[in-house]
Amino acid sequence: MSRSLSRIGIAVAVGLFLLVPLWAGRLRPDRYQGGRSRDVRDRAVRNSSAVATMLGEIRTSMSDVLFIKTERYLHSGVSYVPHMEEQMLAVTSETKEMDEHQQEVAEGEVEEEHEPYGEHVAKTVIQPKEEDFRGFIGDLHRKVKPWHKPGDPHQHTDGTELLPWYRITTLADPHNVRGYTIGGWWLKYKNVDEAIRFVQEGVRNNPEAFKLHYMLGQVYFHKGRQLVRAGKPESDPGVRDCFEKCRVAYHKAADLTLIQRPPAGPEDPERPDWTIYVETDARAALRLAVFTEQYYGQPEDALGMAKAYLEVIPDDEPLQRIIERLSEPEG
Amino acid sequence: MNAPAAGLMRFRPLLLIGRGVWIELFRRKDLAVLLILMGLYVLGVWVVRLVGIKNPSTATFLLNLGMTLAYFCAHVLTLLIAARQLPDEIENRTLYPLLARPVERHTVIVGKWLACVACGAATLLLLFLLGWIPVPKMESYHGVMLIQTLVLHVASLSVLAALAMALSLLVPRGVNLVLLALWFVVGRNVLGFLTARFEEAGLKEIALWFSAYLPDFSKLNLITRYTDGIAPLAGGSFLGLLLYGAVFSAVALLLAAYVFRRRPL
Repeated sequence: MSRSLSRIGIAVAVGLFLLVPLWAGRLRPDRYQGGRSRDVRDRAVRNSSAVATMLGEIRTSMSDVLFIKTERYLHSGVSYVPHMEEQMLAVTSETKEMDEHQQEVAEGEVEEEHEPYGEHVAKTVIQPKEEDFRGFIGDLHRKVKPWHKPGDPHQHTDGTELLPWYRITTLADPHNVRGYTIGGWWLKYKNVDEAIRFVQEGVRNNPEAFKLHYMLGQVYFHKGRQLVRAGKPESDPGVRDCFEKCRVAYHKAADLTLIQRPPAGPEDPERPDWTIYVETDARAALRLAVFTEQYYGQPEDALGMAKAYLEVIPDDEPLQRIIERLSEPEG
Repeated sequence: MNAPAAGLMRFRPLLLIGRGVWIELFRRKDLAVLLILMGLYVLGVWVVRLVGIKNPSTATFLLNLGMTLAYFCAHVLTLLIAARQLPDEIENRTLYPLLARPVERHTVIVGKWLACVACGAATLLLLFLLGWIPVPKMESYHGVMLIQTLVLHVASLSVLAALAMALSLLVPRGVNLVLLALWFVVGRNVLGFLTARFEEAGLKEIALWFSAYLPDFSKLNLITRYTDGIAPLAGGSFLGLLLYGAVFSAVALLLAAYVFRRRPL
């Protein structure tokens, strides 16, 4: 009796093991929305604490270390103290800033100079001579390591060297939404189809992240524009497919935004995770959903969408202008 | 002999085998080293408390760090204990008197595995208390989530112990330790790298299918979910994860029993 029971038990165990790919894939306890560890403001507070100072480099999570790596490679190896202005914490602000830079890069040079961020001079990790007590050792350090005077404009690379770091970031943490969004943004300039695959992977791993659907829309839009610039008409099936997928992606981003956004937006005390930066990206998603509906979907639906979104965010001036424009009689 | 006494007698060999593992745990220095490591962490936490923890997010980070340290230390200890059980018994020829009792080979496997898991669980509990108690709880965390986390950690220990015992009969000790330690720490990332190499949809699906046969320890580690203040897992998900641990443990033990039965001593 006990022997037959153990044989049954063995058969059940082996059977369940052979079917593991079917049922174990649904077990994803790390797939959840929000979380303090993923909150950008929490991370900034943590990293500025006395604990962070005492623990030194150990205090930064792996994704922070990888972010620092991307910053370093972007600046041709020069180590700056992290100097991103807070608005850069929004995907839209960061990609807008980089878009302007990339225009310069596209005009020919691999490295282009541009102004330091904002009013502040970004400090270098290796101090300048006048602030360095180390004398000739400091001079040697500045000669051996890539170094720039803090007051000089930064020199950026064209982003190619950042791409492996974003790939490693997302492999180490498939829920690093920023890795997928900014990595996808950089990748679209090199290989837009690869960028689409990359961001789609991010969407599969983080289906509720509206920023990823937003970036997917961006990438599809970029591909569509690339095809048009290459000489294809807008009526070409490939071009129309790109813009249609762009529209669908922005719609999905907008739908998720409406579900996730608290009624009071960033002012809601119950939702400290919905920061002004998240609000910036959310509003961009809503506006672009209307824009793409107008030009690539049903223009008559675009006005209704815009009005519905304005009820959610009544103070959004771009949406108000879109409504005014759409409400104007034709001709 | 009455039925309950007869029932207990059946477990006597397991208890005797397990006793040896426990004695070895205290005789060796592994536990002492881990306690010292944890002690350093506790010291660090008290220093930080003296300096003052102003931000709840810093306290949460410390809590996560302490729990993660306890998690890793318990797994390291379990791996070390489990990986040497069978090779040591074979090398020292202490297996013969055990098998002559008579105790069946699979009983030796199960007894040692149970004892390794028990040692790991006791160590986990001790280190967890050292890592959890000193840190101020400045944000909200779910008690049920904590219990689920600890239970799944024990499941993770059982998988690691079973794998270590199975591999100890197939590969040299050093290879066993390095292989499992690497798999435990970076296995998921390695799988991600490997499956990402396949671009064609069909090949990718095949790669993902077969990669599921390798245990993913990250599924059984819910520390970050706990410190993120996320709600406990639904009953189905929790039981599913327990089953996940049970299935991998069972298969590894079956492999160990199969190899052990055929191995000349």
